[in-house]
Amino acid sequence: MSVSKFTLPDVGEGLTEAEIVQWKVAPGDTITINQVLVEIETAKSLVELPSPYVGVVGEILVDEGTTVDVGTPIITITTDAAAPAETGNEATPPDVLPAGTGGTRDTSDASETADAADAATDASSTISAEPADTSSGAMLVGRGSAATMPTRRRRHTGTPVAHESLSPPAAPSAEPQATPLPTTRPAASVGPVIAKPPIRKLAKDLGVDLAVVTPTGPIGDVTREDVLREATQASVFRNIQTPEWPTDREERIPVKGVRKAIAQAMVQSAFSAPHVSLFVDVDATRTMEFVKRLKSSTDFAGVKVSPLLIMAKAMIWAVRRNPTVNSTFTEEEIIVRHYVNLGIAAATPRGLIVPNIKEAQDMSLLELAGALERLTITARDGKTSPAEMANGTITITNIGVFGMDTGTPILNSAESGIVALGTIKQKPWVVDGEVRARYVTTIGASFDHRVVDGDVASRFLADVASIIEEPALLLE
Amino acid sequence: MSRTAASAPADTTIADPAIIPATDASAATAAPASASLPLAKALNAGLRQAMKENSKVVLMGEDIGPLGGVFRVTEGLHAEFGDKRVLDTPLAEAGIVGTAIGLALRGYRPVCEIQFDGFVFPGFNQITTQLARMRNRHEGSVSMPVVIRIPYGGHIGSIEHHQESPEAYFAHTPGLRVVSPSNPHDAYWMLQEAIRSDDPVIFFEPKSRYWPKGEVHFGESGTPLHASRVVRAGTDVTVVGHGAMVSVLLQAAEIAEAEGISLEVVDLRSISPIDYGPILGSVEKTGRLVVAQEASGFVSVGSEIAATVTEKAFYTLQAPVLRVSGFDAPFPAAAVETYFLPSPDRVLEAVDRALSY
Amino acid sequence: MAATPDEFFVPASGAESPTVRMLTADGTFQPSDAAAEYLPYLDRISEADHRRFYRDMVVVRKFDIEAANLQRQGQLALWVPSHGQEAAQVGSAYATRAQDHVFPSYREHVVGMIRGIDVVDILRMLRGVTLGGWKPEEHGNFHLYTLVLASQTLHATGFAMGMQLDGSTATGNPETDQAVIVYYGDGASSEGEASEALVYAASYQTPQVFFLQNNQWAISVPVSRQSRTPLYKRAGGFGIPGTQIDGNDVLASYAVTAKHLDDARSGRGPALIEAVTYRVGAHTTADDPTKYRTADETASWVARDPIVRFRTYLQGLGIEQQFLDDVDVEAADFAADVRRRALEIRGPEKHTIFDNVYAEAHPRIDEQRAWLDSYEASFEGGNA
Repeated sequence: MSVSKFTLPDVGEGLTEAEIVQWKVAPGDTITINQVLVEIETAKSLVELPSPYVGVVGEILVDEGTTVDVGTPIITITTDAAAPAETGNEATPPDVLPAGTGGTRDTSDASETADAADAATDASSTISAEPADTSSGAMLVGRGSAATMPTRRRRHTGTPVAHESLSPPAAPSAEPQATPLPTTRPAASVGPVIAKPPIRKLAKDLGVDLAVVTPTGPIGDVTREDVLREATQASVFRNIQTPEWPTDREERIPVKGVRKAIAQAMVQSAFSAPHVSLFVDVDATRTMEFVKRLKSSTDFAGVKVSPLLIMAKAMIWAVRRNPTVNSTFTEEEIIVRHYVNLGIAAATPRGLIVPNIKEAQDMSLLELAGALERLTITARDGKTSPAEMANGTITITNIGVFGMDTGTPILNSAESGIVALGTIKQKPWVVDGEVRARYVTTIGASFDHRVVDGDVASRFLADVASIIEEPALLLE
Repeated sequence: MSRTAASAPADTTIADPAIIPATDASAATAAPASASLPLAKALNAGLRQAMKENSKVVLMGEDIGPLGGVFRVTEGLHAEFGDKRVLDTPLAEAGIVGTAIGLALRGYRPVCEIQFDGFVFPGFNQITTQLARMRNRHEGSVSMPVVIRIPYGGHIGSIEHHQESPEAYFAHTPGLRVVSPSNPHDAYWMLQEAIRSDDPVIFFEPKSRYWPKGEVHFGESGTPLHASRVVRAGTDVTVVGHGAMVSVLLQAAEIAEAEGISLEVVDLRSISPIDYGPILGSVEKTGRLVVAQEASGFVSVGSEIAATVTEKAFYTLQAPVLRVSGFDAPFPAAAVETYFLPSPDRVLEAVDRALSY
Repeated sequence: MAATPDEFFVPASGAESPTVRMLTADGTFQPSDAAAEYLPYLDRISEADHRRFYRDMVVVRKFDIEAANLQRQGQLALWVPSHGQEAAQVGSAYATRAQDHVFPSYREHVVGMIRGIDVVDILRMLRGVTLGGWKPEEHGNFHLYTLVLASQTLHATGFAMGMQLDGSTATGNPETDQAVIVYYGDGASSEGEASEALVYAASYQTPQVFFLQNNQWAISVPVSRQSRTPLYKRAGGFGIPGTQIDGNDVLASYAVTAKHLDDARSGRGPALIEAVTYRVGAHTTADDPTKYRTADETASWVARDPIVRFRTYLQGLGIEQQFLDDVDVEAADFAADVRRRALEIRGPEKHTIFDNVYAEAHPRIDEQRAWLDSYEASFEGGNA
């Protein structure tokens, strides 16, 4: 014996409710399959509902005159067995079809059949839809109650969102995680740059060359942070925005800390050492080509390569040939050093500092590149130690990143020479009697005239320039 | 193999059918390896070959018998194969397709000719609700090896309904395959492959290319039916099109080369399914894609390609995918068709825009 | 605007009456004048055939009612009743030969049953588990239901053309010569494709019978809206013989169909039969006939019921009551068995969305099938 509930079916294509007009049976009645239980009125018409069960009527759940939603249980019936009994001759089988219900839609196409049951129902349990078993996504015939709140199926945690995009060029050494400052540059950087359109636009707006940006994205793509990081370095040297005029008349910045130290060093340097500045224009095309080749070399895959690296090497070579520029003037003696602690002037958010690469003369090109990169990162992070800033012997200041052609650098404290690397850009140049576009730069330098005379200064600068013009001279 | 842009004016000399061996394998050894044929004659040769290879291939359509078809594509076939293989039908496109379905159920491989693009619509019901779905409705127990050949496209200065490009309606219909050759060699081979397919194939023939000649190699196709192909290599922008558009793209590429812009031209060949491999490979190289089509652009094959390539090549695109299409107006009177149809200039305008990003 | 029984019947008493009828509405064997040439075909019917005709009509009616009840109980999306059209369908179905092909519309359930389908397969479609339901070649060449009206008329015509092309017809041997019968209705007869089918059939002289059941109503639109002439007359316009029969007379349906099918298979070309009958039930269970026709009209056709009239005829021939009672029991059992099996119908797997779209591998199908699998598997409780 089991008690079955009959729920209101959808008898005509998506009807959502019906009114119980008249019950044709009463509690306690014995009924047969297909015996008419009730007359309902839908939006369209009057319909008789036949019983799917044989048994005894239990309880009438909905009064006449009440409107209920499709899927609402309307009557319970006590049945004998799970399957409807095979009664053979029903007592009152209808000889004609039950009265039709509304809907004049042309049902000659199969659109309604899409509503039909995906899974069959068990005749002994509730038929017609309870609110649908949403995990299968299937609705039984007769739509479920419309009153339930829509919900979303739960997904397994950690379901990856499949990305349908070109797989990036194979980067055998690249790690897929986005480490903030990778010390390796994925080989992806030598192929086409992988970047989403908004990132490309950002780079374009900020004037960042995507090709020089170290990508840290999961597929070797350049991320927004990568672009901003590159731009931030440049933004130290260039204004991005035009702010509003300040509303107050003046701002007073206390001179203390790093600013005070810089000021003191500048004064000490500028007003004790007589500065002389020299400038030379040089065709740096071969340096640019050399840098490009180094970038695509697997040996240099893990490290940043830029013209500054070549300049550093050039400086060291030129110092070997012109040692007196690598010295300190004191009243009693000029201390000429036979090692190069190469200072790199770095603009940081807190001001100008000059950390130096110790014993740079012993470094290979690759080692120098690494040291340069580490120094830059450390300085940018504001973590340069005093020891790193002490005991420099000669300095490079890279004003090319500012976009400046050249300038008159001020000597770092206790040094006798400083070289300014300017911007390298294409300019007309005469090559073999013809005007051609070449990468040209101006190398500027300042010297302590107490130590370095014009001829030494010139030869030194000429040596630096000759490397920039022909880096192969470094091979000797 | 070389691919000629073939911008010659309509060549009215009809290639001598005797060039194509009309007999069987024994004569095949004496057959030429290739011939220069107009696309219409290449189709004719392809049909003849298909009919010889399989006796179940029957042709049906209006005026395809003694007249040989209004474009002469079926010329000589009725005389050679007779009434039971080449059927002139009553003038009723639903009838052509519907009876073809019945013949396919009976085991035949019908090749239907719809006389002009604009007249396929009376048969649209049978194509979409029946032909495309019979196999699915029968849960795989029947096949519909039916080919529907449709001359399409503009550039011939003709009247209403004779210059349409309705590919999208069919590409959108699941169960159909849709292809369009751009040159005689592909026409010869793709038609035979379509006939061999057990799926229904809508075979769009670019009528403006019926008469220009091209080299047909009879040895082998060289390219699968549903493959796309790079027909001109380049480095700056990828341009893709099908049918008559391919020759326009090749002309645009010639002009661009003189201006120092290198276009890579891809012949789509198959409209559904689309072979994205060569397209994506090209975009990976160039970062820029222009899709060109005679059809109206809204909800077109070009729209589908743009969406898919944007999804699949997102990180390498340096510019949005641009479309060059007919306008969203009915195909106009022929006097102004040159404004409507994408020309090399229209293509190059899009190329310029792509390069400006 | 209701069509009355006589509107398209010329009164049977007239000598010019074109309607072929053997049994009057009250079950009397009284052939009309037009029936004369068909009487010899009644000689093919044995007493056993009579019992088969009767049993099949009763069983399918019971099946029909059961299916409608199942729909009202939420077990089917829809039911398409054939109530009232049993004689037209049983008679014509028995006139077909084993080698023939049958193209139904979507209401010819008993034709299918006679040709060999399991009627529960029809319910599978209406329960939403298939768009087809059976394989014609395994079930007496009874082709699938076609729901776009009249489209099947062209398929049938093309199929018949194929019979001609492969020489399976008109060889002079009726035991093997093939023919096609295609069923459609008064509403469908307005569709252009129905006319195109007649054009092609006439042009190629296909071995084909067009069996048009004029059941008076196309959903709510009466046949008077479809045509200003009796529908059988349209055939003449195409150069095809057209015959009108009393569709509620199973003997007329048998005899006329048998003759025209045999004419067709012998190479004498196609023919059209208009079987005048009545759709006693609704168009489908989603329809409400009370909105557009009167109870009186329906009652007048119930009075011409095909089963009642045939039973009266058989009783007049002396058939035993036990037989009639046994048929009722058999029908009830049949219906109960259908109910039981209908409730067991299970849905297809989701991969059937993709399985038979193309004969050959297709990249989008493969991609999307795989995507749906992984999408479903990504849900808790989901299965690939």
